[in-house]
Amino acid sequence: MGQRKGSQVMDHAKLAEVLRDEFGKDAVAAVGGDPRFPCAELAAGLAKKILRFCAFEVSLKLDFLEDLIAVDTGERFELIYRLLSTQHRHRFNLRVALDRGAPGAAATASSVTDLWRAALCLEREIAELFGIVFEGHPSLDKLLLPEGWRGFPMRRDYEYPEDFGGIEHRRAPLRKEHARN
Amino acid sequence: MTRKRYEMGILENALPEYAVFSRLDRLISWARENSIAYLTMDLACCGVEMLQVSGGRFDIERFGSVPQVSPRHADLMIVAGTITYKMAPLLRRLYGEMPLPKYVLSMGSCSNCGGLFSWEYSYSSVSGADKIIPVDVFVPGCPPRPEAVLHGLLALRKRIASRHAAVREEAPGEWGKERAVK
Ligand code: SF4
Repeated sequence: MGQRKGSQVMDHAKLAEVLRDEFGKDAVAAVGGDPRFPCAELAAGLAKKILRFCAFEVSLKLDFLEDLIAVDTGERFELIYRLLSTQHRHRFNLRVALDRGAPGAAATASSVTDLWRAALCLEREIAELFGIVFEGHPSLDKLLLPEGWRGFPMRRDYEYPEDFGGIEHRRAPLRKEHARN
Repeated sequence: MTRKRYEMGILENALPEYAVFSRLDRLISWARENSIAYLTMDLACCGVEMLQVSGGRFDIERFGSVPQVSPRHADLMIVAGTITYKMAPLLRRLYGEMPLPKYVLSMGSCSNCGGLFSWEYSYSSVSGADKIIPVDVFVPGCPPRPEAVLHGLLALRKRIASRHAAVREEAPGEWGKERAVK
């Protein structure tokens, strides 16, 4: 990507340094990944503060939320914020780990809709597919699934429904008399 | 119109003009099968193929069939594509809004049995249109070629001519009442 006047592209080592300076040694657990898409894992407790800092700090200015991804690794949930700075033209993936909580229950995270409006839809989608409740989100209505859906389909322990809205999900194999015709 | 199929006789010279004799039900089914307006239930990729059918190359209008966007003017519903659980109540409602007699042609694997998104692989799609509405003709393929859809239409016409097509007599709106969204 081309450089702009007055812009400064950061790599992940520099990002970790800046964040550790601001929030202490434990703020960034790990850095690495493809140099074109540097990745940093944030401490769960400080995540919201760090994200706010990333959005407004002059040397970072990560003002554009490209995507918000949730991952279920089996032991924990991860939220990956893909952030881009339209001014400095650098891009970071910031990863935050979440507690899974009890099976079937919702996990919680704090919403970033106040920092990036793009998170409105992304968080709604994650809330219904992963069962992660975003505290501070104005309305976590269903976005893709029909109303009344039970369970969170993108979780590893999700079981397909037996029926929905009176429609049986399973389809019986073709009966012999049908197969003949 | 073929003479044999409708058992019509033309009595030349016996009457002042040409006169055609037939049974009333045959005449009605002849009228029905030659003017099937279909509702385009364009749900997924199969829909593109269905739109091709009404295009210049395949030209479904030579069979008297025209696409309709309103269910109130349609005789046939071509269900083309994947039916999700979110779409299922709307599909039922549109079927309920169609006037009798009404027919359904299920197009493509998805709406025949779930296809790619059948119950083993997808949590959110209905495995087959016949789970929610009665289907007259199934056209296999993923997607079926437009010729296959025309073949399906001809099969339906044959069924209408032989009065085998399932004409369902329940009052319009029955499906909707049953499936009222809670
Ligand atoms: S049958 Fe194939 S082409 Fe048709 S809607 Fe399903 S996936 Fe798409």
